[in-house]
Amino acid sequence: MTTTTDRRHLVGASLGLAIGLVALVTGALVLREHGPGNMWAGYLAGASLALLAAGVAFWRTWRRPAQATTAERAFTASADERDRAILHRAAATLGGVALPLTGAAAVLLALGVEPAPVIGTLLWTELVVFVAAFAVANRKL
Amino acid sequence: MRNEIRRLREENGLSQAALADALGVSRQTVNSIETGRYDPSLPLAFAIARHFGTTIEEIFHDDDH
Repeated sequence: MTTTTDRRHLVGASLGLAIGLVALVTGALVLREHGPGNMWAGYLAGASLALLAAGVAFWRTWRRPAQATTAERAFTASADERDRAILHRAAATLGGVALPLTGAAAVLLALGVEPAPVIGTLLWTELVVFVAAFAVANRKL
Repeated sequence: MRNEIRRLREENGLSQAALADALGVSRQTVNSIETGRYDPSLPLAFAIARHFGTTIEEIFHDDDH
């Protein structure tokens, strides 16, 4: 039997994935016209993977809620209070680290270092910090 | 904070998954609360107490007192 909560989850998931798909195609088209080199292809690959992961997470939290992970629940609007606490801790850690990292990146750019690797390293470092903080909080809580 | 949830759950013949389902949280959340790693919010603590037909004070105990 499909409940109101199920339907709401399905509508939310479909809407989120549709918005993600529009952002994916629009971003790739804009980058292909105006971006440097083959950045659009990298964007397309990365964003497609992220969208696919989101689709799998939505499907698992909808059809297999008992087997869904904390991360899957946290990123598909089906989190309970512990999931949200973990997400908040990870976001707070990222926020605390992002400020000095961005400051360091700004100093490097001011010193004339090539921007692309600086920005790339900054983004990857922030991603790693967030994932690590999420994993640690998930073990602790 | 210590609590009596595992004892109450087992006395009522409930699995962690069944209790989680009744409370509207994940099985991992019930496990974390039982092992003292996560302290529930006041609304969830009330829901737990209501589920077992008792009071919050009967379930949760302050470590320092």
